[in-house]
Amino acid sequence: MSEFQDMLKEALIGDEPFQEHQNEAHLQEAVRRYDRRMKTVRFMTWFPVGFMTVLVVGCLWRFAVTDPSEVKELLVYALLFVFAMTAIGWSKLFLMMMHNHVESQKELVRVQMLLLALHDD
Amino acid sequence: MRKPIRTRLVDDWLVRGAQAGSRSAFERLARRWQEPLWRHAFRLTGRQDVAWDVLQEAWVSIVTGLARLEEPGGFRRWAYTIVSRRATDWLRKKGGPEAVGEGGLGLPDPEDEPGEDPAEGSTRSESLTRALARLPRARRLLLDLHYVEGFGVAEMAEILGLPEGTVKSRLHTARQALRDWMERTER
Repeated sequence: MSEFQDMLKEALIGDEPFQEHQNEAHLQEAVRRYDRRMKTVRFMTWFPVGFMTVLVVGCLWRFAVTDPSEVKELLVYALLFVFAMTAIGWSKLFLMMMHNHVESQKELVRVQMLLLALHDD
Repeated sequence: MRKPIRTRLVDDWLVRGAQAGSRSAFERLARRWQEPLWRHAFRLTGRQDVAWDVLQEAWVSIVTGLARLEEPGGFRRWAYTIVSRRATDWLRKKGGPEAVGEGGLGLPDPEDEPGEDPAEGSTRSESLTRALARLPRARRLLLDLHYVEGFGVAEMAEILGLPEGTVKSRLHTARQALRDWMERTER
């Protein structure tokens, strides 16, 4: 970098009047917004699961009340459904474990690079 | 100036944490960037109170868009771009003197300046500081982003929403205007 550019950098730095006392309040506001956002995201994730559970249990309950003979058949179907879902779940879990293994290796490299960069600094 | 690789790595780490729902990761990220982003907002708007408002709006956009940020290491550029957009919105709304990347070319002749005596003894850096104070805000912003924040031309183009060629030529013009000013004051 030339002498002029060094001088320019020096002249440019640090003449903005940053107010520390305002900083903290604004930071906390940003964190509060993040918390609110995360709550919404969690609600949007779990609401469909809860809704479906209530729907299925509600339907079974209704069949049990109106026609108890069908309940046994329904329970068999429900059991088959649970088995199928478990099988899908296990195979998905296996794939996820494989994927996570690759990701954790990448993460490890990232941590090593981070430590190196911090050490250099 | 922050070290680019370190900045990218730490940002990558914190953004991934915040995307996964870690409050402390987000808080660290916010603490890390609050001041540089405020300075950017202030350079764009020229007013302290407005810079805080712009920054607050920018954080809202950052919080909303963080989950969709595909390149966590590029948080700095992304956040600066958001602040620039919010500041531009404010300038447009208020019919401000200049939008991002616009504004006059350069500096008046030092001899035409009231109270400016070119013969008056001053160091080169003092002369440069005076010249910077007279440089249009949009030009000064380019110099800040390049020399203080360490952004490259391509990144600045993205942050300010301008073509790369325009940023390059305006940066060159701003630098040249300062050099000319200093030469005139030294004569």
